[in-house]
Amino acid sequence: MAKLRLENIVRNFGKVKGVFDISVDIDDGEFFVMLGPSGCGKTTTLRIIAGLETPDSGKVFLDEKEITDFPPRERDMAMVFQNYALYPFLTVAGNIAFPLKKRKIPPSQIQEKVEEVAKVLGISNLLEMKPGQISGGQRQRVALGRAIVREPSLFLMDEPLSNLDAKLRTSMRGELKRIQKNYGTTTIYVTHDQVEAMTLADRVAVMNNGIFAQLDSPLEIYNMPKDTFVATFVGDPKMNMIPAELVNNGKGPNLKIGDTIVDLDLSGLSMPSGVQSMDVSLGIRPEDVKIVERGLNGKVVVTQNLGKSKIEHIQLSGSNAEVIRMTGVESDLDSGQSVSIMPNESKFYIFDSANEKRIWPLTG
Amino acid sequence: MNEVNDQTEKMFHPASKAKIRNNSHYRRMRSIKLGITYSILIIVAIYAVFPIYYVVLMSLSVYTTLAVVSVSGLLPSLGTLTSANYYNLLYHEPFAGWLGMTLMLTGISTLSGVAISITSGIALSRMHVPGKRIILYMLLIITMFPMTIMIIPLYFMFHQLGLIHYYGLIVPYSAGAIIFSSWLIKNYVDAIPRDFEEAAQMDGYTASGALFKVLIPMSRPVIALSVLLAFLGPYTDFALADIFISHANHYTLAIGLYYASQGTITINYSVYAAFSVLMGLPIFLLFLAFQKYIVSGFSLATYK
Repeated sequence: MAKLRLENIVRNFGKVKGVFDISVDIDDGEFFVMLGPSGCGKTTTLRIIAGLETPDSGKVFLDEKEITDFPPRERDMAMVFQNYALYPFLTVAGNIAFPLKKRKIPPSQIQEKVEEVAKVLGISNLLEMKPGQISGGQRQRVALGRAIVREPSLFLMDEPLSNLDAKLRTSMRGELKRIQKNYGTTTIYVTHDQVEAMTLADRVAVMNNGIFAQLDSPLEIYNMPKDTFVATFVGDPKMNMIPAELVNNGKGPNLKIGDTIVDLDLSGLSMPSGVQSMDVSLGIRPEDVKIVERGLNGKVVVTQNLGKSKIEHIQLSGSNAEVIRMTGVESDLDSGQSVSIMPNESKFYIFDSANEKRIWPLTG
Repeated sequence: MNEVNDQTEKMFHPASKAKIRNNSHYRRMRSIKLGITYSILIIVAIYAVFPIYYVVLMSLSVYTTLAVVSVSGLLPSLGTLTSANYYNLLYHEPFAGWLGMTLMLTGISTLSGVAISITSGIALSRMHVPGKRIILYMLLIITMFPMTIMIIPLYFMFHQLGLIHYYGLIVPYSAGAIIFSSWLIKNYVDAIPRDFEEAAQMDGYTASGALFKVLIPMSRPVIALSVLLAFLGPYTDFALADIFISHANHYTLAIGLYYASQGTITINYSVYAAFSVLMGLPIFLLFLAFQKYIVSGFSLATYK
């Protein structure tokens, strides 16, 4: 049970920027996910929280107490590593008991706790085995057990599911969430998998180039991405980005793609004074692409049937953009067919090409 | 053999290319290949085991020279077998004393050498050491020099330090172990991800606690290999021991072997062989004890 605060954390590796000026308050019991591509600084941030790395500047607080320079062992945090880091020379029971050994807990009590945790995780039958003899999913459970058994104030997890196959990942995801809710322990979770972030998190920090590109609830991040990075990183298939232009028609801005003025309601949007046109991107999520009578013309290039849904690639005429549409299997579009598309109702985004920020919808 | 020729002819004859082969052909080919593999392995095994067999046979022989060796002599015959060589070595020569001297010297050198190798190997792998690259190259280059060319400079050096005696040998012996073992351990530890030590630190241990509790136990295979290598050198060394040790009470096995097998005119080969068998036993036992680790030490097993 703990609150964690980061204040202006900076960590550089030589000339390579690791983390640049990160501040965040993480609440008691919160499941906080840092999501980003490799090299975005998420693991560095986690290691700074763990004490395995010291920031160049900035402070770390645990329950209002500064711990920036505390060694890892004094922080009362447990970490689950990507490769699990199970000690190969110890049995499963030995691995789970390892963090307790240092705490002068009587052996009978240690055994009791190990058995209890093993029961929760369903690995009671593996206790006498060595890590080399059990499967990836089981190792994952043992690593979790080693973290849980101490009842730490904070769980740190560094891509704990990325070494599992897809099916196992889905079931372990559910289990992780259940365990975290059971114990109510504040959890900081690092991943590059947006599905994990969306399903597990109370709040998600999308990281890019060492900063938080956006820090919000998963739904907010999906529905109101702040910039093109967040918009395209979150969502699968990713959001379509169509190069476009905003032109001032006297009364307000119009969206122009190629030579076509797109009939979209942009009321309330105003352009900077004196600017007649600006380059933007029109963002539409694949599930919000609609086939219409009159709209943006294009041609179906290829279709993929996924069983429960269908993905269609549509090449827009008069533009290089290829739009991906996700739809039900009942769609009978075939490759080569000419179509006309529009965003579904008001579900579209406009991003300023100059700074990649979202300018439409206005709120949020 | 004919069958093999037939098969190869079929395989390489252009006309047979178009031929459709049936399953039994491949089954036959597989058993032929297996037969060839086994034959080669048996030959290699004989090649490896024969010297040991021959030494054991000779050690039990009543003949003392190699001159009487004939092909029939390669098989044991009851009339020429005796245990006298062993008996003499164990009861009339100070074999036990030599063994004790050797084990003490080898033990101290091995323990100190390997202990230093562990710390230096881990430091070279995990820590920032100024001039690390140069140190590593030096270590590698030094291992390429034969021991014998170092005997004379070592003698002069140790003479000046007043270390030309039994205990003085500990220094070159353990140094010899350090050179190779540090390199070996460094490479092994390189292959162990830091996550394991970091996990131990998260679990409540200090950096050095993590080293002893996690990294060293994980390095057991390479440490076992280092112990074995560090043991073998001093245990069998004659050249250096002979110039360092002058007092007969301090004789090691290698020197003892030399004196015990000296006949009046020639070398007494049956005593030499019996001595070799006895001297080989501790190495054999060490191998047995460490076998499980040594195999993975050689293969530099990596942890995932």
